[in-house]
Amino acid sequence: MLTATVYSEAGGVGKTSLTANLGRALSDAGHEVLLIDLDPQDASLSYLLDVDDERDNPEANNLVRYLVGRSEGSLEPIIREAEGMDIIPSHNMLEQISKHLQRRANEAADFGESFNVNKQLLRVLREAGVQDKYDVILIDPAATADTKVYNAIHATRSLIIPFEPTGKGSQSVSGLEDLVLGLEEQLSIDVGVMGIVPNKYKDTRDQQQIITEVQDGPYAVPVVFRERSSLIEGCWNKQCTAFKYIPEHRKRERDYERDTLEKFETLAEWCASEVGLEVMEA
Amino acid sequence: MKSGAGADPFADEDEESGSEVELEDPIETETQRERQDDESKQLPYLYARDNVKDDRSQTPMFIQEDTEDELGKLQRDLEDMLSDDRVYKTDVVEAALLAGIQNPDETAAILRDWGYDY
Repeated sequence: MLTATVYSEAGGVGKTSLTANLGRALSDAGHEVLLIDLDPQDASLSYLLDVDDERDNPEANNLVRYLVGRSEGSLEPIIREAEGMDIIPSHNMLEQISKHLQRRANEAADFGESFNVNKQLLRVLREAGVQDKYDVILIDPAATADTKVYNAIHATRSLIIPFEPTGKGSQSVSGLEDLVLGLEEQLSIDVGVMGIVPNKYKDTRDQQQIITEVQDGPYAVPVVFRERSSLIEGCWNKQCTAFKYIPEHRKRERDYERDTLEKFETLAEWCASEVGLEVMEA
Repeated sequence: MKSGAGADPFADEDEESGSEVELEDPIETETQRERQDDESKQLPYLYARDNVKDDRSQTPMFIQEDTEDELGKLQRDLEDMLSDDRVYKTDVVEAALLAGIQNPDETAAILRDWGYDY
């Protein structure tokens, strides 16, 4: 399986667009894709893919219920569909997830049971049998370092790191290393970096230098995305991936935007080959 | 962090190292690594062990959020105080616990703050 968390400590680097478009490219390549949105903020993956209508309905079944053990088994009841991908949308309850998980942990302790607040997502996914239905899971947690991202990393073990080639962006990568090192130690897991994905690249000398440094660094840099604000804004506006936006909402195809789609396809192929993914039997 | 994908968390349990299904009993004892007796008597714990979980068993620890925050701060302070690049949180926790055990008067004072011995 290809399982990855798309994470950056810095906000606004294009994490959500990357998750959606990479997912779409993998789906188009014949893989069964599950996206998981752990970001309770309004402008998240669920909004981008137009599946966020139940976000503020407190009575709606949602992932948090599964994480605390109030809902069990199959995730079908909460899975939505967009552009050929399945998606577990986010829910406002995720804002309080730390509190809910801690309460559940305290309760478990009273009964002599163990309950690790950072390992619940993997438990939920395993109990739902996701490995039988999907060969790709991409998780988009919020940009904050809390139990949501810990659960995501514990459940996926691989990171895809969108990165803005500025000084601030470089800081965020080394900050991430600290975070992951701590997590690896606490959760007894090994985490791999599937790739660093420079985004919003502008052809300035400073940025070129940063890109070169990253490419020379220890992690793979499969593609570099240039600044494409018009396309990305259009996608947010129409609530879809670039793969849907361009044919449906662009009057004429622009070469450089076609390039962007090809880069997502290249990134998808690259990630799939990293884990030896074959297309699932229909 | 290593380069390349991490292990598949959905692979069969046997094929995968390091990941585990949540156990019901609260005490998980790590398999003891065999070690020459002399070696472990001579070397300080930090150098005798192979990883931070060696010779340790896991117990759930129930602490308040404020204490969690103070632990984090203690870890940062210790990293400044000691010459090592990093001090593992697991070690900080046990060392702080031992410090409390070795100073019963101070431990009693904290319990009194919480309402014991009123």
